[in-house]
Amino acid sequence: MSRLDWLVLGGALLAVVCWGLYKGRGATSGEAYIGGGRDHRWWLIGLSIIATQMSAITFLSTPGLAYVDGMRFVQFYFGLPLAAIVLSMTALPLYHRLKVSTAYEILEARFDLKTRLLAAGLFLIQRSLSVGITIFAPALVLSVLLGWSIHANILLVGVLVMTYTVVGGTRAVAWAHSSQMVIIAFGMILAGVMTVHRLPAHVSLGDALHVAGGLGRLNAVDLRFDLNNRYNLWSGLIGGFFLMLSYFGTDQSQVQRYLAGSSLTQGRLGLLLNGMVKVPLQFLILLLGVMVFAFYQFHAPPLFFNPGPVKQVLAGPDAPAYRALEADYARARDIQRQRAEAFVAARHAGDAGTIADAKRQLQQAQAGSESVRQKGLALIEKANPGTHPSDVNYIFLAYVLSSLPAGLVGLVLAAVFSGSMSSMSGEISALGATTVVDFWRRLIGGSRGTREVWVGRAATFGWGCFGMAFAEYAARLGSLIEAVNILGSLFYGTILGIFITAFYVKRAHGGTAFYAALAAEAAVLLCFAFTSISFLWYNVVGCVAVVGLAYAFSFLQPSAEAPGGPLETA
Amino acid sequence: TWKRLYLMVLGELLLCILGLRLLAWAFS
Repeated sequence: MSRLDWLVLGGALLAVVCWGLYKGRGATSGEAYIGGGRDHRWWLIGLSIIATQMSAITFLSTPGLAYVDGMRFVQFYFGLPLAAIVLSMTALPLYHRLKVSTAYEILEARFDLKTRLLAAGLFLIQRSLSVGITIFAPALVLSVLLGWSIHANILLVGVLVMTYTVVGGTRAVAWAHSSQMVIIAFGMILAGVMTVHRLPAHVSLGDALHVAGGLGRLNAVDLRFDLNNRYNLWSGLIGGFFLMLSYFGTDQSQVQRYLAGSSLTQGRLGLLLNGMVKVPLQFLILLLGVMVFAFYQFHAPPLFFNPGPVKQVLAGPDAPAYRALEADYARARDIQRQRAEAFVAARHAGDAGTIADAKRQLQQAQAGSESVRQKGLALIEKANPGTHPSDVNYIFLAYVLSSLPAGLVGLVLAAVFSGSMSSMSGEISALGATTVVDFWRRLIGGSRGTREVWVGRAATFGWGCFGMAFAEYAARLGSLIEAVNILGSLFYGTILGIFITAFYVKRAHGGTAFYAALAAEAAVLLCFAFTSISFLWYNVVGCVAVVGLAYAFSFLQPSAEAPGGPLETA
Repeated sequence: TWKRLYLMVLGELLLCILGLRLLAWAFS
């Protein structure tokens, strides 16, 4: 980190906080604080939706995934445009017509108070835990690669976010999101341009793509249907559709973004902008990882990019064996580099037979170096039992720190911090809003004036502190972090099922959705405990179970109990 | 207008999927 890097990083973060504070000033009522004044334009809503979903770990791990596994991860987002269209046709008009502040308000009108509180409570649990992970995960990467204190990092991000989020509410969050997206876009684009520029002089962008493609890193769309395969076209289109339907339609951290629109049209356009931009955006971030992969075909990479677990090996009895493997890997990669050079030369010469032969030799060299790496991974796993060491989150930042020029390192780090801050601000703002609207206003009967602004600020501050405390605790959780990440997808299908029942199962009323949700959640937990199906399918299981059970339970309930009519979505 | 917009979003998704297949084929 040079002085210029510190200047860029500090300047960017200060600009975000000041911009958020400036644009968020003057909230005088609970409605203005939670609803953001309801005057946001479609482009601001779209940017805010994208920024809320894009956390620092998205920005760090996505290029790493492309480096290790190619571009298959892009399929995870194929269901998103479909969900944006369905929500634009159904949920948005309903939320707008009923003038709700949170998504969960409509559940009481349709079913009863306990169903509303169940959905709001599930949201508070999963989202508050994810705030902690959102700020802990990048803090861990930065502490390992730069030696920064995890505690100081968590405190810095938390204080910066809470400064403008607590003071300005939804409006401050949305405008800060717009500046964070600018920083992330600049960081990404300049890192990509510089990576291509840093390739050897005789290697063009086309050559780099041919090298990466020849080694399987451009395979993005897998047409095979396999329930146990996390990323294929069908898990993305079907499982991803249900997940995104739930995330954008029933998760207050996203619903709050488009409810702040000046009209139904602006909210719909903002959501559809997200639907159009997201897949190309993820493709570009993955392409950045592919270019880093191509870069390392001509430069020597380390055997493992995460130095933490490597230190454990070097401190144990396997240290000599690991050192020998590192030397083997360096030799194997040198052979691979020569083969990559030969492949590029063959392409320039233009003889089809020579090109095919050179490509086959490059693939053999890649298989050879990969087998050495796997032996190294086995030693790392042995020295770190039960922790499943991975370097996916470390590859991109390790590359940036070792290979990019001063100034750009600071900008990429500013993008990482922006990702952390954008997710955390959207989440704690929504947690505060749900606490105020679904609990304080509903159960205590609070007023909507200036006092509610202060209650909203206190709730937002409280959730921010909880997120920071959980991030501190997460530092001691180790591999349980993965379990916390899966926790979110255990609830999403069930919450979506409650909402779909509200919209379309007109027979269901009263407590039917509540009891169906409890039974469906048990089914999802059984799937989690006793099957190996990929987590994307939990969303389908939970949702279908709630809708089916609510329909079945509705026959057991006398129709005289129906308190409210169905919600028409036209 | 809205239906045309929805079709545009769907069309773009289809183009993305086809484009990704084409990219893998062109550089494999």
